[in-house]
Amino acid sequence: MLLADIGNFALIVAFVLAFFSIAASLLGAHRLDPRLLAVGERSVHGVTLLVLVATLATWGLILNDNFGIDYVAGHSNAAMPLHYKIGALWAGQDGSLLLWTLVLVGFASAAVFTQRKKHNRLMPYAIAVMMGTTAFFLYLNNFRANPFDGLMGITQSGQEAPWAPADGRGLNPLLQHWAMVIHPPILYVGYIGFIVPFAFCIAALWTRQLGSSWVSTVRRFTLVSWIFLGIGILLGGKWAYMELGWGGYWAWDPVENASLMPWLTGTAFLHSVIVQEKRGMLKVWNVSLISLTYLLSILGTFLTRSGVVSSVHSFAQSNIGGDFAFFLIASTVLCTALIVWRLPFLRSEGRLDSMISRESGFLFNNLLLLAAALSVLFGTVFPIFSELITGRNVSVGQAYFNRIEIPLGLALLFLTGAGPLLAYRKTSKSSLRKNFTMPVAVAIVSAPLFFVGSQAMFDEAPGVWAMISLVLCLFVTMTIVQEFHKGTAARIRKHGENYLTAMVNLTRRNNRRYGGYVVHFGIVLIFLGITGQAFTRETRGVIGVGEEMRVGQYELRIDEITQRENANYWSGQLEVAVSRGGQEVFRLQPEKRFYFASEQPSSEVAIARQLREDLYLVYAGLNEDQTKAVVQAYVNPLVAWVWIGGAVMILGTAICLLPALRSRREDQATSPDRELLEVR
Amino acid sequence: MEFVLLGSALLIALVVLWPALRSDNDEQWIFSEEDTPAGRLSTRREVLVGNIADLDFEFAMGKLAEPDYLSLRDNLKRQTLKVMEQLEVIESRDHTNAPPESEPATAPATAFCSACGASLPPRAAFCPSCGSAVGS
Repeated sequence: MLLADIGNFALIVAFVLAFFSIAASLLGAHRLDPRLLAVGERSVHGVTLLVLVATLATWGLILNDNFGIDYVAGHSNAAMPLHYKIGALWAGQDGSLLLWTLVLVGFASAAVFTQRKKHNRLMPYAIAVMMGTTAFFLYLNNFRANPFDGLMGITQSGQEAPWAPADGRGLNPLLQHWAMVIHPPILYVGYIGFIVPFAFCIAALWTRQLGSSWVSTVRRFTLVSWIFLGIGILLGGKWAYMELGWGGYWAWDPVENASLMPWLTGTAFLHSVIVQEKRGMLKVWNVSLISLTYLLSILGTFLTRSGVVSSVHSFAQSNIGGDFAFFLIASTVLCTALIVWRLPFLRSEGRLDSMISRESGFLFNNLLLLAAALSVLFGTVFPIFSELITGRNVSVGQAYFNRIEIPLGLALLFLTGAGPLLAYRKTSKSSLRKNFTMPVAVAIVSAPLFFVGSQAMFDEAPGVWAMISLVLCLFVTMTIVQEFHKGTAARIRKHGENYLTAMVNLTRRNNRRYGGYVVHFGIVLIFLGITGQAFTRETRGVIGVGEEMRVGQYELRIDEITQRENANYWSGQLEVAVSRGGQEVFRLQPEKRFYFASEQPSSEVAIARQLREDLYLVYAGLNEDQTKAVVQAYVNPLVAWVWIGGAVMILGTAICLLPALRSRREDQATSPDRELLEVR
Repeated sequence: MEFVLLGSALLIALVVLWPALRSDNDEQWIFSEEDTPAGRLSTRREVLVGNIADLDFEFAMGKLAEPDYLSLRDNLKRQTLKVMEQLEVIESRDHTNAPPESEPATAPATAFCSACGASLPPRAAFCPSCGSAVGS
């Protein structure tokens, strides 16, 4: 058990060192002693190194099939392939909490490494916040969910002694999927990355340095966390779509909601910080938003692990809910108190010049995003309160979420298009007319085409919401095209470049703005994909070999029912021929598995992916007399665009993160040459 | 095994504490540029110049009527010039106060915070005790 000893040692020393780092940083800040501050900063890196050692030790135990360790025996077995063994680190409570701590200290070290010189006054307090959170998680790793705990058995003489089973129980079959191997680490980077902006926010509040400096510093960290959280959510959706076998990718599950809430408030923050950077406004709003985002991230962890709400993530439940509740309440109280205490220092430096301006657009978008996040929060925690008050666990159901979130989402989609058309400070009526005419006209003219096109493609006319969504998708796309075109045309007029060069230079020199538009286009594609759900077709059939069933425009015929077995699972498989209009177009092999180690069944769905629609087949098993197969078939229109939209969002975020090229004029303008400020 | 772990703990402690243990380390606290009044004004100037660039760009894109554009730009220009003037005052003051390079540096007179009375380190922009801006 050498690795377990090393792991335990690393965790306990890291726990002590985290507190030491807080003490050295705060004392160093109080005395303005660079030596103490350096000790505090080195301690952060020391904690990171130790947590990395503990994580590697856990992986070592899993890869060595060390079933004398409770966690390894519970989440791995000898027959599992290597990539699932690597993923077993985050398949259960203890390991995933360790990964959480590793990502947390990784961010802390990155923040210290990159910002220590630029923000030496904020850094000690930011370290205190980051290491305070780390200490809480290390407390859990050490004392509440230790991945190095050994298994104990009873000997023949009745004594307790270390014991190791011959094999482990293996990874939960639902988690044996490629998306699940990468989904948790990516999601964790998203959740935990918000610790950096939050820590700098608290440091700025504490030191009263509440200008735009901390905001511009944390922007990149926020953007990275935000996109990782977004990718994590989409990968979770992809996993649910391919592994849970109910035909969809989003069900307003409490844990899905838990990841969506900080993403929504993080999106709001990314927009409102622009107003603070440019105008010195919305300071209270921004510190509140990033605090809320961080607290919602912790709440998400609490909901996933506490078991207070039932969820598809029930595999990670345990008894640490009380610890999380305490940490969450304490953080909320401290945060709120600090913001209220510093309110006099959070006065706005500017004022809203006009209600028709980019700033007001940002404000409305923020209000809608916050309303969306809070309504999701209400729906998610409703069962907890209903049980507390009435003694009955009542959940609000998908209808509640759809009724509230669909209109809010569409209003946000409208603002995604309208906001960029508004100028900062003030937009005149004539400019409004000029900028809105083309996108609005194209969207309105296209409405009848959508109506006819939907009937032709999906055999169904769109409902009101679907129609509004399709029209808005086109409207936003046209605004984005118009923005790129007008910006490019302005560059051509000024610099005489060709169209392509002008567009590339426009994007490189205004990468935040135009990268943001690319992200907006990704959002449009995701909305398009979601709208496809309005046209979903579903059929259940019990058919034997050679028999046929129909779903949407497809005829399905079973050609063969086979069975096979390996060391990990038993499997039954169908060979299905899919025809459309009398022509065979696909052959699909849906599968039903039964995993030996965990004694759990699992469905491996078969999907024919096309840009227009997915054909999605689930083999639910044989009927009662074991002669026919039970097949659940879905036609999911436009679902591919959800994943494509995600990829476009990643591209847009990457553009935003590129270092901006500055024009010579801008460089000159920042030099103290007054002539440059003249109108040209 | 215990000895190896104990040795590792001591090594970690030594590496972490090294900046405080070094006898030749007499590093002084230096405020980063953004913590000085000049640094803050410089940041403000960059923001304002960026705002002017945005305004020019949005006018070129046809999002602003010309009268609005001219009045907003004039307003921003005045704010920028004011900040630049303040910067020039600070820079010329710093320049006047700076000792000639050949002269040996003398120990600065101890300054005290006007709000709480705590002693201030050289070039402090804020009081380390109460956080008040120096000179406010």
